Amino acid sequence: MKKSSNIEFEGLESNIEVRKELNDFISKYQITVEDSTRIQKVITPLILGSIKMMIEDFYIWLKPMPEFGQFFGANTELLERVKNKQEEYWIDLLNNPINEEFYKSRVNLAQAHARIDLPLDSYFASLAFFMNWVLDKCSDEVTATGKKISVAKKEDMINAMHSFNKIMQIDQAIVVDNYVSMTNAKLNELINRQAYTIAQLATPIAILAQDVLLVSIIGMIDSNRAQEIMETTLNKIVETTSRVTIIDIAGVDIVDTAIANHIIKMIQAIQLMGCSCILSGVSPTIAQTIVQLGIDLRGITTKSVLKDAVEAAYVITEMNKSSK
Amino acid sequence: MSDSISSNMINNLLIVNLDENLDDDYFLNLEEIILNQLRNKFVIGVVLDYSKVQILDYDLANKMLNLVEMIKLMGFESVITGLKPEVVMTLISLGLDNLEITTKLNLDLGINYIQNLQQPSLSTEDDVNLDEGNDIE
Repeated sequence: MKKSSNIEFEGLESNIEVRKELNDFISKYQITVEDSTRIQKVITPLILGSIKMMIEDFYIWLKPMPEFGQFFGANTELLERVKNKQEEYWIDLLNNPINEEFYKSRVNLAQAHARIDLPLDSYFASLAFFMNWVLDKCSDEVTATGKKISVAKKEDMINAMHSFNKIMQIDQAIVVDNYVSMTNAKLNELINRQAYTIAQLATPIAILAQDVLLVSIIGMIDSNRAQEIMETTLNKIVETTSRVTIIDIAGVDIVDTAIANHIIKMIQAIQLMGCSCILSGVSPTIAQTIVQLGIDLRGITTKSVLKDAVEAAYVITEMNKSSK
Repeated sequence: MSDSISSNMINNLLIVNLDENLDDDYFLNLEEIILNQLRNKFVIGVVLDYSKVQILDYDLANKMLNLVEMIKLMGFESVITGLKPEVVMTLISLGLDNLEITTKLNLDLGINYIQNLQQPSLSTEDDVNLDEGNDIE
């Protein structure tokens, strides 16, 4: 759980970059070389021999949790791999000062967690478990009855525990930082994809027949969208030299004064281009609203069903042909 | 008379191509030329082609409307053709929406429109008001 990464290290271009980011963290959390020496002097001899035991304890604690079944299930191979990684991590942490490998392993962990959508609170809980396990062991050492312990040794232990705490904090900071940025990246990607889809859905313009365009308006219309629809429609009219444009508002649920205004402006623009315009899809509700709001749509051909609108468009194009 | 104003008579139709860069002087010239031609020659209508015009501000748009009004006062039909989408959107955003003008998509359609006005057998209705257009079928 603590280190469940079997994925290649990614996201950082070079070791220089890693070094720089790590240094940022180290200076922020005021980690010194002394911290490592303190840990190595007191905690390392105490814990190093029982790392395996600690990890086993961890899985005993973890097993009843729903996360265990969710992420490990019956996959014993994965479980073994994660256990090995955790062991490596602790051996490295207890023997060496904080280095690039430490940072990389934390970034890896964060990325792996983000990828499998492991919630941050699970990570915090596991981290707390290991931390408490180590700190318990340390305090047992100094408070154990029947032992004569010098004041200097007690002081060493307290200092070492303090340093250990700092290391755990930086561990946490690196993981959360990377986890959040990775999750945000995932979310942004999703948002961009959806924005693209919405933009694609915004204004389908179909060439219905020679000289006839169909513009279907779906969903809400605000002034930005109305402007966009108008622009694409007018350009399409020029491009196809269409003579009739049908605006279908069957997909518009609510028509208020603002939306009606947008639609009227659109129709006027289309007519200014020299193109006839038919408003289609006027539902009973929309008809009622338009009359109640006192919106003047006279002079604009309106139809309730697309079929009728198409027929009206046909009449116009036939008339244009015969008048040529 | 300015050289930059290009107007042609084709089949008794006065066709005016408006310049890309419009200003007050240009319009003054334009009015003079068009109205004089209407008086002195046998003209059946005027086609004002705006297809080169990229930008139209409030003043120029009003001048455009005034010109149409003047032509109408002299008893002639006119049609505006080839308004660009950008120009149309400016007109709409300026609130100049209830325009008493006839517009057509391009020069070809504009010429057709004016010529058909001269033939009583065909409808003189604006394309938009089609409800009485059944007599054509």
